[in-house]
Amino acid sequence: MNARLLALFFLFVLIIASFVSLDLHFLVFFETDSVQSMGRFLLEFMHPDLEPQFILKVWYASLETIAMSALSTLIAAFLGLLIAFKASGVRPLLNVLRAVPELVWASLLLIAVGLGPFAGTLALALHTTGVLGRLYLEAIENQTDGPACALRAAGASSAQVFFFARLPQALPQLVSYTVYRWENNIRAAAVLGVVGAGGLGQMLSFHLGLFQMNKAATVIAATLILVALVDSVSDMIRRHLG
Amino acid sequence: MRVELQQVSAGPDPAHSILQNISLRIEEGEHIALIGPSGAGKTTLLHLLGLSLAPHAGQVLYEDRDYWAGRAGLRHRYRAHVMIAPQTPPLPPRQRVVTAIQAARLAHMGFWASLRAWLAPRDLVEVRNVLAEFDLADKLFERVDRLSGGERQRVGLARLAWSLADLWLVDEPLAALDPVRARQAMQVMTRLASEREITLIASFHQVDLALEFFPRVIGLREGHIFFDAAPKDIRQEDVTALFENEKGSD
Amino acid sequence: MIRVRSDDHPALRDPASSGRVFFVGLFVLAIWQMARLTEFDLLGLFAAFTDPAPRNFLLGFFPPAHSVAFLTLALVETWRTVAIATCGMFIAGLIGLPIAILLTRVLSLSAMGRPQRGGAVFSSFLRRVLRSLMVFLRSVPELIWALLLVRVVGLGPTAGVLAIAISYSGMLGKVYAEIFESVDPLPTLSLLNQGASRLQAFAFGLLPQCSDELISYSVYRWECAIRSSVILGFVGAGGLGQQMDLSMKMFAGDEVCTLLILFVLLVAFADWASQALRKAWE
Repeated sequence: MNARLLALFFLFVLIIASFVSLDLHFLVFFETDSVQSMGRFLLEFMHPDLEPQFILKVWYASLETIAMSALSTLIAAFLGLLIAFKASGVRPLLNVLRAVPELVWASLLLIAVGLGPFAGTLALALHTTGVLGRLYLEAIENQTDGPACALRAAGASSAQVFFFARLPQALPQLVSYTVYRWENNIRAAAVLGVVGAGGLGQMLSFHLGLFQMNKAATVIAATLILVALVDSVSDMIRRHLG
Repeated sequence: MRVELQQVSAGPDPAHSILQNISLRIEEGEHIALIGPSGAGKTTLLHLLGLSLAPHAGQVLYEDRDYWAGRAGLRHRYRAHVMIAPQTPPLPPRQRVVTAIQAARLAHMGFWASLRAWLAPRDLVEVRNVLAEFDLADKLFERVDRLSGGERQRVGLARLAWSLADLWLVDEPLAALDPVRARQAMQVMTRLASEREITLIASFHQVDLALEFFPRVIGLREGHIFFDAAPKDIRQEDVTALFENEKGSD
Repeated sequence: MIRVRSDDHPALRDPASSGRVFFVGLFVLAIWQMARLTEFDLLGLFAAFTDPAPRNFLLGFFPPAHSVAFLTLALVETWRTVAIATCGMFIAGLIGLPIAILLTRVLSLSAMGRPQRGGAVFSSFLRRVLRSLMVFLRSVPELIWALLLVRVVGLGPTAGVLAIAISYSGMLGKVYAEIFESVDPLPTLSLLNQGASRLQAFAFGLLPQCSDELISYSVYRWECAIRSSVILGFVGAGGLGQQMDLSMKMFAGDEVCTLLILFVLLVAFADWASQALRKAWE
């Protein structure tokens, strides 16, 4: 009971200190200027830009976003398999890859490879390798040893044991992890662009920067549709597996 | 393959030997049946002979060589000569029968050859013919987890038949089969072993089948060899005594 | 037993092989197209490290920046990150909890005694609208909320706090409602039957059954919010992320290194704190 009180007290102090130390100005919402500009924003927002030429651009950016998420997931899956197969020693490295968020990786990589979707793809691949590598390792380590032992007792090499026993045994689980990460990556890919790493996010931050709210609304709508689409596809894949 | 056990003690638990001080000589091409109550050490003996369990004491000699004394790489290479078929064949659930069978020859394939076999199965005619021996020809491309228990066990035997080993170690191959299928499987297994001059050692619950099909039968009890004789020299009393509950125990 | 002798017997045609060939073809095509779309260029990556700017940036990582002035600045920004997450979570809870209570069917007075209808037409309509509002709030990524809010309220922590508050209130509302629906409804219903008000029934019937789960989930989300709040900094919502963005734009590798180390320590600390809080609560 004492511990509970202590925890509550800690939370209370944390919340008070947070509100006191930040110079928050919510009153902005009640000033005439900002209310007017917000009203204008909202009005423009309600009329998304649906010109064919712009839609085409959004379509291309959506494809780019899908490509970024899918390609990075594939790269991460490939590296994850290599790690699960041979390199369980890289665990600490995986923790580092996983600890740094995609967006931070992206802004680091922008310095190396410049603006564009390549930086975003690499960033997603790095972070996802950290996540999938660990999940794959655990899936392979936690499976029953029977099939692998049987092959080893018949003189198979460790690579052969991996392909004929460990991998087929773990495959459904690995696929489901990978699909789940892809779902996650499409969300990430859609926003990575705000630091300049390509895709829908880059379009969004560009048009918001110019205060073109109608164009921004179209891009946001495309993002939502894309995420919903990928969610239903991955749901389908998972149901097919289960 | 000639195998010799010299005063061997062994067991999966290093602190406790299930087999105690066993000596045994197995000549090339011999067929031997192991019978005895559960816990007598039949499975332990098969794994010991299959180089997958190191002896606690004593020596296991293959053609007069002790592979446990040598390097691990050498020992592993020699495992290509032995094949253990466990009672329930441990197969990955979603693997297809054809791939599961081909896995029996991995020790004789290079890495790239096995990768190719993994992607696209090879030697389909021969694999199908091996399956046909066990009435499974139509299951060639079936997934392992869609087979019945009996079919899985026969896939385990077909996998044995596809291997290139000279020493077959088979644990309770008939446990999941009905009497007709059990007799059939027994015939095929012993015939294939004779044709290829393979040394065959198998454990059984069905004493009558073991006595009928095997020229040499070893009775194991509490980690010791209770008898080791030809069927004609084994009397009914010996079998009864082999399976009899120990006096005073429950 | 039928022995097959020829290689092209129909029984020997692998039913999976045509599918496999098709999928491998599709796969190769897809990878090629995706590589084109993402301007994939591994050689360019290696070339990048021979360019002076990125190389100096990376070489600058060691030693990390450790002047007292910068460390003070970085620590202040770290605290601001925590504060943004905490304020955002608090507001999200203030919004999410009442909505979750409204969404919970057990607590609906109009549905009492008429479970088959799920309550009056208006209140079930209201519930549906609230539910889709929650879905909308959480399906727009928080970074997009922040991007929009920065345009409205300007750069600084206000945008960050609101972005977290908006997207997390959707999440909390949904999960809280699920938690409320999952507990035994009988204590709540019996209180309502005795004439207790909705809030009384909630406080004395529902809450005691699931307070542990509620706290534990909220603390876990607080941990996630800290991570989010770092990210939000990159679009100008204040805190560690904003400082990291600035240092990167100035190619100050040593500062970026210090900030990354602080970030990793912060995440580890949040992880530890959330576990300690949850343990203290149990």
